Amino acid sequence: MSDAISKVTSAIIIAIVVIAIVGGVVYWYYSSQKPAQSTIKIGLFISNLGNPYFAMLENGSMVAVNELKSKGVNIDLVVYDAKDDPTQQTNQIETAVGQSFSAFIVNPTDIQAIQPALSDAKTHGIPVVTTDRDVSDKTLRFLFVGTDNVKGAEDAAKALIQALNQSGKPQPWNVVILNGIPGTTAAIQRQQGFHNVLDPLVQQGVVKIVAEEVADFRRDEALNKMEAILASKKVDAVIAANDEMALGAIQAIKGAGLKPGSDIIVVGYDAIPDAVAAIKAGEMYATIAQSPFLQGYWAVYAVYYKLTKDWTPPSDWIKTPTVVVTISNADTFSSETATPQPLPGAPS
Amino acid sequence: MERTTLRNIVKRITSADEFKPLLALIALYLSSAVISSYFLSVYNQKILLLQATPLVLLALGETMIILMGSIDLSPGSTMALAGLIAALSSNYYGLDIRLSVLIGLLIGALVGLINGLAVTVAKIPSFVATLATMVGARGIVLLITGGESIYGLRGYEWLTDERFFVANMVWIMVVFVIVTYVLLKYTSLGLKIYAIGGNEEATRYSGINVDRVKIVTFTLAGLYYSVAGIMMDARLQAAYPWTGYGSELDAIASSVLGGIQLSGGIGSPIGSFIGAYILTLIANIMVLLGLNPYLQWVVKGFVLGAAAIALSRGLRYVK
Repeated sequence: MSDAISKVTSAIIIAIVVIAIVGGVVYWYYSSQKPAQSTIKIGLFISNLGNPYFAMLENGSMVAVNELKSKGVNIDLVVYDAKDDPTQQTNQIETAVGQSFSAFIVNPTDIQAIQPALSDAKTHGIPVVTTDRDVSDKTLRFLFVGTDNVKGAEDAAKALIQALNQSGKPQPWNVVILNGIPGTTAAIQRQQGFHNVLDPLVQQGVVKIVAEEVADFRRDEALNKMEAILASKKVDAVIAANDEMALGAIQAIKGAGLKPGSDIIVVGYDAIPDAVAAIKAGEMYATIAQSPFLQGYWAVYAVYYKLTKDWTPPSDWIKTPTVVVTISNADTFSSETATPQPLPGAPS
Repeated sequence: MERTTLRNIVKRITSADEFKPLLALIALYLSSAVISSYFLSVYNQKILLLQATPLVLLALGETMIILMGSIDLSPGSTMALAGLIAALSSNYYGLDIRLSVLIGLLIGALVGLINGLAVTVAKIPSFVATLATMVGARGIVLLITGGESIYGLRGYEWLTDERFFVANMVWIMVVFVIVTYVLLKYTSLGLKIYAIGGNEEATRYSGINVDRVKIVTFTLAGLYYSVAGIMMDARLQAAYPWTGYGSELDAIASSVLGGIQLSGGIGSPIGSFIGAYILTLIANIMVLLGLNPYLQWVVKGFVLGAAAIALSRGLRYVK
């Protein structure tokens, strides 16, 4: 009796094991072997998804992937968030290299620190697009999709001059420049853009730069610096390398009993919500909006064309547009910069 | 007879904890007035006071901790968290401004309490314990805000409104300096704080509940930092998530410039008030002169080093 039961039991166990093994092999064959040849699997590595700017970038990639899916393309996107930690991003990329990814879109946390991970990807033949921030060694990616900060800053400076012209203030106009964290790409390029426009005007005697300070992209630092500048200088306008510093300067101007917007014209950069509110209130003249949405959107298409049509981009840097935000487009610019546009130089 | 008393008075003045920092402040004031004609203007003196005020609050809190021979790295993050919570309470949840400020202050005290418990109950060295709260509190601020400021604050401008020539927050700061001085020099809690910094082992043997003193002092310090945080809300009219980033070092530097010994037990809160003022003054005069921004850091470092040398003269050794 007990013998019979154990025979039945062992037969059942053997059957289960056989079914499990056969099923597992079949499943493995169908799930990993076969689709790997036809699916495009993209890894998107974001520096910090907690930042609304980079959330827009991710959104752009999602929209592009969904567009391609609706056209019947077998494409998948896996998103990684490094929370601004270069070590974590390196780990994420290195881990992903061992999986079956067709391409990487990388928004580096640091232009140097992730290079070893990217050269790892290169040796495994995975094409890489960088977005928003580039890497130092440009051979590690086939394309960079990002803002031309020099041009954006030039636009900001031109907007400042336009506002000064309209204000009818006597020349030379006394201008204060507030710069970002020394050594960062954004700070260097924006400073250069400001000077590209202002320096010729300084030589013509139209503009006088009365102070140029570093306020580390910080609002509290800019407040303190601007207060001290106002103690010793007459100022007509302030141009800052980001909105936080512009808003700090506005606080200092108010504290000195002056009116931001009319007594002193302020221009910022980045178009953060706080600054857009200041523009609507007439306290800030202009700011510069970038297009993180298009960065993510174009990067996906670039990867797709690269993989399917062996596409070579017209240049290794596709510049995403910047928009000057003033009171006239303060309500509409965000939809302006979040509308899909065709990738420049895309194959027909 | 009279000569000896006069000499005694002079000796008492020159040997006071506050003497050297005060001398340095006077010297800096005079030289600044000479090199920049804008320095002594009413406006500039007012902004000096405004800029120094939050730092003084941080320095006073830090001083109480350093006097016990501990260190606190959390001031900058605590002020940001307290300022944010107050701003959220008033702006986002629509609570009464006084209640919102109270909630902010309690949050600061709570962070201080956590520091105190970590140091005493969990026996984590203060450097490590407060490093953890510094990183953790900043993380909470960034989680809540996503890196963006809470703006359009209302009601906080009372702090920057002027009364008797200077802003209300400056008067609050003056009250805090006096209260802290009395607390440290004339109450049993103050004496215990100095005793712990002087010789913690001996203080424990004498039957004083050292752990309780530490918990109370850390909590009190957290409260001071949160006052600074609410002042920054008023200054910026926004709860800025990076407020006070790196301020812990300014608070420690203020204490050092004010003659507080990092080994504990020696120094006066008036000294750290002067120290905070010196730091603010140096930053101010460099901008007035339009000094190269990179050079400004070098000068700041040099002043700190020089002050440390001057203040440790006469000591047999330092740790």
